[in-house]
Amino acid sequence: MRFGHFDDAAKEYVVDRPDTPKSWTNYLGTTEYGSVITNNAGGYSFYKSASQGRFMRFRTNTIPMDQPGRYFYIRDNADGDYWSSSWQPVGKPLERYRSECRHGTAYTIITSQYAGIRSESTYFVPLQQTFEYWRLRVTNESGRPRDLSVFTFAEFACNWRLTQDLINQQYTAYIVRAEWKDGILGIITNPNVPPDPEHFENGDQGRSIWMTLTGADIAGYESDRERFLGSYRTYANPIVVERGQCGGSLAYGDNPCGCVQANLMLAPGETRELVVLLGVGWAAEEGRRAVAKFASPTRVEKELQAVKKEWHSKLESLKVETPDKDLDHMVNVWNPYACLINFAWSRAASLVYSGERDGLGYRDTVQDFVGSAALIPEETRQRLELMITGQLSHGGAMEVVKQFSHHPGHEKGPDDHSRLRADDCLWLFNAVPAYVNETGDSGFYRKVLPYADKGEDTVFKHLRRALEFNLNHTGAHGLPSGLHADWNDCIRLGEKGESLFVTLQARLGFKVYGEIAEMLGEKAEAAWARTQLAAMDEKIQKYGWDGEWFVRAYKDDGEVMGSKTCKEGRIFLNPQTWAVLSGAATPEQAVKAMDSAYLQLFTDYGLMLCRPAFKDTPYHVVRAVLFNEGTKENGGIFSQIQPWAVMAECVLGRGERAMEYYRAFLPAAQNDKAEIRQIEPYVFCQSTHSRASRQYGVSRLPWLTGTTAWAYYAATHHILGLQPEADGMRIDPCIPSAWKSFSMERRFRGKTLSIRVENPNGVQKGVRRLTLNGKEMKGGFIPAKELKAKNDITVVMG
Amino acid sequence: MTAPVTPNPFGRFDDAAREYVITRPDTPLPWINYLGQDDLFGLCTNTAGGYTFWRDASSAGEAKNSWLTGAAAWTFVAISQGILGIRPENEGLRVDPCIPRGWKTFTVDRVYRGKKIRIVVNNPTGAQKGVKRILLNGQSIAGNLIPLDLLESDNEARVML
Repeated sequence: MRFGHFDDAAKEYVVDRPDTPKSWTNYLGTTEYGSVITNNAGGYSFYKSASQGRFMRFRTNTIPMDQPGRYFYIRDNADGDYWSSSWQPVGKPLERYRSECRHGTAYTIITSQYAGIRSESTYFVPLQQTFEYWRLRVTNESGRPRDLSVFTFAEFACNWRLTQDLINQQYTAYIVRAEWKDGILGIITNPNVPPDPEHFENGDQGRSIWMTLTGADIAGYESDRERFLGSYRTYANPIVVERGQCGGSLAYGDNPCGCVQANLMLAPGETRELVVLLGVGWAAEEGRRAVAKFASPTRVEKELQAVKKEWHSKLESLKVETPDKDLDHMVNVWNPYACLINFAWSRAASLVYSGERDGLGYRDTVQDFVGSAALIPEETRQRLELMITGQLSHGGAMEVVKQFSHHPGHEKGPDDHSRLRADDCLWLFNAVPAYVNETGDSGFYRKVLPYADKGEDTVFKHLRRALEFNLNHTGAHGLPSGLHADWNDCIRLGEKGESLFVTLQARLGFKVYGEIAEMLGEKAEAAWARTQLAAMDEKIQKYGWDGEWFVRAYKDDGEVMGSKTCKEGRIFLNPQTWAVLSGAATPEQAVKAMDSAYLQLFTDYGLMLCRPAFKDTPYHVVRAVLFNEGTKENGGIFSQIQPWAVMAECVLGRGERAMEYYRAFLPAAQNDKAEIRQIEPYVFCQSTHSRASRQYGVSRLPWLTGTTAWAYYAATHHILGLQPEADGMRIDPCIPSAWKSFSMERRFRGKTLSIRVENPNGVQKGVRRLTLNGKEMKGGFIPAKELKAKNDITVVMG
Repeated sequence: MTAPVTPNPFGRFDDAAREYVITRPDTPLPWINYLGQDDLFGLCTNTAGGYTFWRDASSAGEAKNSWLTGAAAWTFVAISQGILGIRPENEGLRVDPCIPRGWKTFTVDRVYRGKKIRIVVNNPTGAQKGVKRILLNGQSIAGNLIPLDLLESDNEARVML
């Protein structure tokens, strides 16, 4: 069953009917002013942080499922009937209410028709501004004059700290005051306390937001939520809308809201346009200035076009046309767009993440860079530098880097190293080369950056410390310890337990470090890396190989995990994919391990994380038993690890199977099965229930997930084969043999590469011939220095 | 002159049943009660909203300050020990009411250290404060302190202001 379709030309997903199984969301704004919005206009906005700058209230995991939000109520004054410009919250019967929602790049447009009235509400945040627009166009399609009233509604927080606002009512119910001045509503929290803008984390300071409506005379307002709703009512039937007239309440404590009323007399065929501006700052200052400058309809339209242009330009890194339209939908628009959203909000703000998790989780954020590097290289470098300064001088990392209060040189990690995660800084071996290879900025390795606690080093030395950290924390077999967690939060191996996953990550680390050392002319370092790599390979062969696949870990008591001798968790996916990706597996082992994964773990919706799921295994190491069998880390289809399987199959040259894996978890490929997947068919998610669950195929936690970056990386680097290197671009696709040809346009270091790939012999991998502007290039590689501003590239596989 | 009394449209006290009766459900805010004892507690509103928790509400939800407030204890002390003037002391029970002139009589049943005492206060002259005489089980006692050692299991104290 489908609820919408992709409009690739407009770079939009169109939700054709509003009663989606779950709320399907989009993001507006930037890291200065961010917003979450659903296909029914539910959601919230925040200034800088969904945790500490949360001025709009939203109730996570409540019912109806996405309320409150940004609403326009429309009332027919002739008969008193009323509805909302989004289907919810009033929720008129769908036989009589038609609605379409277009989620675009940082804007959302909801168009509805009811009772002969068409409404189009457009929501976005203009560039470089800290306010949001709600534009409402109301058209009378009924053929008779109509007397309508429009009421806006937003619910505001009492205190901008989310947890205070939601649970500390004995404080927050007495700190809000509303003012109405010159047609602008001001909602002030702690009005008697001076503002303290230099200290964002100070939650008890005078702060204000403002809201107004333009395009018609204001016929009234309400700013006290109960006065708007009436007691024991809901957003579906506010007393003010039912009555048809605002009473002019000015909130004084309790809960504030923003309702502004306009009355419209519409002739047949007439359209009126109302513009709501809602932003951060003081009504008499920021509010008044914004209204003077930004309220005209032409300005609104201009700002909307500017937002589209800005976001579309970020997506221009790559445009593809392949035989797989679902891949095209994702790679051209939704996957890179979601990479930018993940980059902006890490794992903080969605309908699942309430916003309370603030800061940049170390490994999540660093992995996001493999997706963002090609899209926003400069911003990626800045954030990458911030994260490198979150590395402690012993080579481990802080769990979270708090971007508003991070002071390198003055931070402290836990004294107890078993509280550290074993994998944190190993992700730098993916992220740093992703940035350097995209930009050619190999000088970055020589850049000096401080450690979080003390001292400073070049990025190159930071990388060495990361490897030393794992060499300094090993167990009985000499393999790296798993500590508090490796990638898997549910495997708590401690100081003595050993992780083969971290071992394989470190194996890749030594390989990458050696290559960087060679490039930098650091011969001794390259030799050190080679020695360490050889030693590690020997241990992997001795303790890692189980005959059919690679094991997962050794617990502190020596018991193996992920072996054929195990009753639960007999095989894990990650050691198989990473044995291939790190180069640790012999060619025979690589094929055997990946075939074992296919046979044991593959389902209709992707590969299970492990199998069988855990049920009776003691909890002290294997925290997976916290979850129901077949979900998340307990044998669920964990999405983030699916791209690694795609990549591993591409390394093996098996394009058919890589595509089978890719499509299994590809959201767009499940557009017609939305009733099973339930969440948005245009973004990746954290996990899908596997066969071991009662809800096989149901997916959860869309948008903010490490899947996003890795899926983009797997599709672009491995399937489509665009592999930037420090001094040029390698092109080495791995595709299904049925693909006869495909084309790509890639922006690379300010230049345009127009690439046509031909596959006349129906192979899955292998470049026979590559020409750049008519000149044949050797080895499938294009040196950067050969590139012109525009380049025609032909690749013949076979 | 006393202000005209508007009856509360939402409810009334039923003292005999020791209940408050909410007679229409659309109260301005939810009016709640507490249920439970020992480790299992619950909050219940007049429209059956609320929640139940095991031992500790911190993971279950918020506590509304309409109920959970220091005012409850101090108001009870002010009424029982200040206005009604029945104050437990080390040696016995002090009786020292402070009431409006219009109160001609009132009765307090008090259980004190396992003994029952019915205290009947009479105020024929319309005083606000000042105990003139106390008869405990028919015997006159000096001052306004009912000494512990004179108490039987059931007692009656007649107090004259």
